[in-house]
Amino acid sequence: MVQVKLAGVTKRFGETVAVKEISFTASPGEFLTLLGPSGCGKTTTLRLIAGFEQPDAGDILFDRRSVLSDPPERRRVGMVFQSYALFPHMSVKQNVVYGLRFRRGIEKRARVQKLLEMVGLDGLEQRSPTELSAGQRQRVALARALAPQPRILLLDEPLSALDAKLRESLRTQVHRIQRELTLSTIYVTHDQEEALAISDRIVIMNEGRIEQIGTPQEAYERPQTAFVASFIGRTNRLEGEVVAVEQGTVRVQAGDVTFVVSACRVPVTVGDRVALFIKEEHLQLDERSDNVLPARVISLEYHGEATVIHLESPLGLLRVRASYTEISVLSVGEQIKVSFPADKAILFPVI
Amino acid sequence: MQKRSLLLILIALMVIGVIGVGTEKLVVYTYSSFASWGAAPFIEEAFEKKHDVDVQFVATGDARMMLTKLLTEQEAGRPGADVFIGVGSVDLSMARGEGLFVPLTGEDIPNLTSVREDLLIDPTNSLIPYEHSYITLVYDSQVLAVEDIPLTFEQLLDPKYKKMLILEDPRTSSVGLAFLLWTIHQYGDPGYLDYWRKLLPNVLTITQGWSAAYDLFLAREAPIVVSFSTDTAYSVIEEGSTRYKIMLLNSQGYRSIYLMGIVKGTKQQGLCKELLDFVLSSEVQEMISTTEWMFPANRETLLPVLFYQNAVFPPDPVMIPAERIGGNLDRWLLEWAGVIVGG
Amino acid sequence: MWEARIKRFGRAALIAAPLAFLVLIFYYPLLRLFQEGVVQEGHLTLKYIGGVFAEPYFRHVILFTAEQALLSTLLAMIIGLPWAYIFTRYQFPLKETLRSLTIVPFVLPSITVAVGFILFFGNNGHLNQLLMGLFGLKGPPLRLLYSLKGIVLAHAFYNAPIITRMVHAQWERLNPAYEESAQALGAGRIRRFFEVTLPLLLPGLMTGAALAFIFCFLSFPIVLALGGARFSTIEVEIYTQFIVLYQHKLGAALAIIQIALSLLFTYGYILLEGRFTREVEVTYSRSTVPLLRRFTLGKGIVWLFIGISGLLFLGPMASVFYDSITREWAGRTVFTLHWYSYIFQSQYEALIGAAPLRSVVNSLQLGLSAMGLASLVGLPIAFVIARYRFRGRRLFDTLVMASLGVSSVALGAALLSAFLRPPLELGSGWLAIVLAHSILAYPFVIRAVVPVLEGLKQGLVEAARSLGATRLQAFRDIELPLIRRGLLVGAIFAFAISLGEMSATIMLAQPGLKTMPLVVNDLRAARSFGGASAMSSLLILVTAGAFVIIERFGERLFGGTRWSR
Repeated sequence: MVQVKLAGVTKRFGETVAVKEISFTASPGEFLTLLGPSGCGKTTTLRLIAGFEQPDAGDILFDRRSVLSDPPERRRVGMVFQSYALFPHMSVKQNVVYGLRFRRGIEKRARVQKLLEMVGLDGLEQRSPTELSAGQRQRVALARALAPQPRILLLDEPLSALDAKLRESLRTQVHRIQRELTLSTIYVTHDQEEALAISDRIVIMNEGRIEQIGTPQEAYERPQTAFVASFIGRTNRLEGEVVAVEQGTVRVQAGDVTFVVSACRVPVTVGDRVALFIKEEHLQLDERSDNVLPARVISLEYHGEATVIHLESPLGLLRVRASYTEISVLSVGEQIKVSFPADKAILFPVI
Repeated sequence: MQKRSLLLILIALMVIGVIGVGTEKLVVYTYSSFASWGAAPFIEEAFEKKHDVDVQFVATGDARMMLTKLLTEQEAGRPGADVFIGVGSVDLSMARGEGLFVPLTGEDIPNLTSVREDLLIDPTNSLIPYEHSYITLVYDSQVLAVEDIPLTFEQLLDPKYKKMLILEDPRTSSVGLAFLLWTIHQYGDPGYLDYWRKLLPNVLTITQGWSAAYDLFLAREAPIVVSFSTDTAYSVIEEGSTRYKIMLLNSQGYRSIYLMGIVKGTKQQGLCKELLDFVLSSEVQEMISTTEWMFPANRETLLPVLFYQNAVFPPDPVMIPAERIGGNLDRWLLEWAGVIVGG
Repeated sequence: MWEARIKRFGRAALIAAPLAFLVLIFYYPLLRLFQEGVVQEGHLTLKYIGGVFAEPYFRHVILFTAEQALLSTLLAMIIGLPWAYIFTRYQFPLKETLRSLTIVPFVLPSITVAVGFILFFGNNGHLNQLLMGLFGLKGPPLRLLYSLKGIVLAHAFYNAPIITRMVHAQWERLNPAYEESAQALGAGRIRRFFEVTLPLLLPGLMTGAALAFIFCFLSFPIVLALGGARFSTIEVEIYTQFIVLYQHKLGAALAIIQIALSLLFTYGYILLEGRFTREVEVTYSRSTVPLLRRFTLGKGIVWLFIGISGLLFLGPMASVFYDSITREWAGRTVFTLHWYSYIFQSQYEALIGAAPLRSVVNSLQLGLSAMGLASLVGLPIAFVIARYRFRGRRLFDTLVMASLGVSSVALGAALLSAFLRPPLELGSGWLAIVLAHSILAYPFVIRAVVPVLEGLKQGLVEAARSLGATRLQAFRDIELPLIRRGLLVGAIFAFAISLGEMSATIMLAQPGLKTMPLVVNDLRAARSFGGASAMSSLLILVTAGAFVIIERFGERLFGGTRWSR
């Protein structure tokens, strides 16, 4: 259980700046996720923590001690790579045991046994990695990383190569294991659903910078930047101009319609161009809420537990997520009205 | 793209190769140094002037390679040459045994009568000599003073000559073979094997061929090498150096005679005879000494003074007759190999 | 209907053509020669072969041949692996050029290498002279030559580049995640290398080592020049039987035994290779560290290694060059251009096409033709081996590699003999030489391309075909560019073989067709050792230049843009 702190870390690759002055602290035993689109710098940040890259500026501290002068083999981090990188010339058992060969005082056989049980793969010790399925390989990679009792666990998009069902079940397993071991964990993914499901906190990154750090709820319900608002959750985006700012509410003119918005984190003035973010599930298929908008049904997507309906409005395409019963009464081409409450629309100025 | 054009080139070349022009020509197989630096250019020019024929010297390798080539071709019924120049006396039994050459007389080759008798080692004269020398030892006088050189075979065994001797492999070099035969002549069969066993500690290495051995010698790796008694003439005339000197063992040297012959099946026997006669003429024989660095076969030839002064005629030259070599050579080589192998 | 038939016929022809070529030009002449070793008066007999094994001397020779080859290969690996590492990990100026140049020693005719070694490492060589001068010693401190040591040293120098090439080609595409995993798990550099990296590099290493072993096994001039007759190998014996004694029966028996051993060894290697090649993740680029900045102890060791092995490589060649610009006159050593003017002088030129410039051109032309033909023959065969799984595939693989393990003296004799009669009455000359060189060279193309082809994902070809490309187009647009590295390596090796080939060429050459090695040989036979060094220096220069050009040009020929339209 170790605290991981990054202070003003910057990393350049030639002309490109991959990571710009990143600072955050992961508490001991915390499950922290680095979330962002491809190229945002999250993998680079992870590799910096592991020691495979050296920062051009800033410091990285484990329990308040800088580790910059330590090579990866001395940092005692457990790392799971995106490609798992299981040694093909060794058996499962030999792979898992590998990290133990350099640590003394650990009963090897028992430990391997325990770990394989933990990931649900006991009985497969003698197999070669080429004989395993993708999900099994991922679990071996995890067991291998955990075997030498690392201080921190680092995972670089470990589930991205798996199918949806497997992803879900494995992420639960990863989460459960982390809880059991109370191991400080830093997890990299581009899948926000994953991040929301298992993280204690999420660090949302974009273009090398941190957009927001917060709990899943905070990220979801109270995004602090336009990027976060659009990245997290399934969101609709509308644009308009501020016409009035009153105590607690803002009026925005978008086309022929005027919206009233009461959740605005950033100060705006009349005349500002702004973007409105409304989550799919917050749009109602009736006129009963504060802001109303006409729309025409384009298509329906059945998702099992919910249905998504695509609409065309004068302000652009919209998506609404609702229950099947609500939507089944609608037909394609129908003109309807949708609405949303003033406190569910999130407003940010656009540049 | 690159490959396609290469293929076309190949086909084109094949076609060109087939369109061989056929003028009257006389093909001579010989060894490369004769063709490039030896008397060949002179012979070609002079002979072509006198007779209307295109003389072609083919010399892609050493004499033994060329002989093998000729033998292979003869086996297939298509010998590629009319004349062969360069059969060494140690290879006589092999060459003659294959019945490759045409027997000759003094009528065919008038100049044959001027050749030293002791050089006519083929009774049928299918192969006649054009030059000769003697295999001896050559030493570096800057390393070995004249008082220190061995004078007999027995003295050569002295431990003070440890690792000073460069020899040639009799299996791959005619010079090396000559030296081996010399020891057989001296110590008999199988006594020579014992001699070699005792000689080995003094041997630095046994090289593939004469040029490799001489190369090592010139590079000063060791001060004694088996070579020709005409070498000193070369170093004096060509290099202005009296550094290298001849060492005779038991006042002997082993004869090394080089022969030429007319290939059976040639369509130009008359012209071939003229060519061989021309090679034995004084014009050509005079060139032998300073291009081949050998003694001319024609005893009436005058030698350049420096050559005469510096090349050495051993008082007692020796040679094992070809018939004896023929029957025993493979056994000798095997036994010898068995003795020297290892290291 | 017809179209499909033609297509299938075309495809079959693509495979059948090179095979037919091999059967006609290689197996047929060879078997003609071999049958002399097993036939006596019309019946098959093992008398000659048995005779070889019964003779203790021959047994000793066979064992020694294997022994020196094994030691040489080991030393070549010890030199070659660190160089592969240096090329993989570091970036430094002229890296690509240096990589092209490491092949040069392989090209040089063995006599040049041998002479260079003697001049540099000999008892009176430059190295010993330097050491004696520096430390005021009386006698030479390093007695390396004329012994097994000398042979092994020269072989290692000659063959280490093969190992470096094969290993590097694989290493630079190895996914760094394997090593990084091990690193995160606590493994230090050395352990990482031996336990993770090396096992994954085994296929490349084994290929390089197997090739090196075979060359050392067949080596002839180097063994003789640097060891002497006391260290005879099977090849020497074959030469003796064919050329000196004109004894075809025993010579053929020896050649059969030699090739049988080589084939056995090749088969064993191919069996093992199958076990060691794994599905390893490949990457398209691996980051490198600049060597010239930020000095560390590790880099210091690298520099030391580069320095010492550089000495090993360059020393002999530098000595040859030095020899070409000096001569002895009246007991002193003077600098001179005498030898260069000697080999260019008109008297020499007027002769039967022995002009040095002409021989340079000959060598290059022959080399390019042989390279082209070897690629044409080798590529389809490599394809068959890599892509199709059929019974006896490994045996097939072994048999097509046969020309590597055959004595070049025997091959020269076999080809000469075969070309003199129907059905192959080609005589000697250009075509015969190109054919001989291609035969000797095509196995390199196969060995270089097969591993790359096997590593290619089949899915790529399928994707192309689903987009409408025919099989041939898919090959041209997808596979060819991706295997270009392998193909280039193979082609360059083929070129190398052709340039340095001597034994078979001598048998098949004609006036006007001398190659550079033949001219070097001639010069030495004519006592012109300085001239030989001058010619050798020219040879080194030309071949080094040719390699650099081929590699640059080849990259552009196969790389990307030309094919993407």
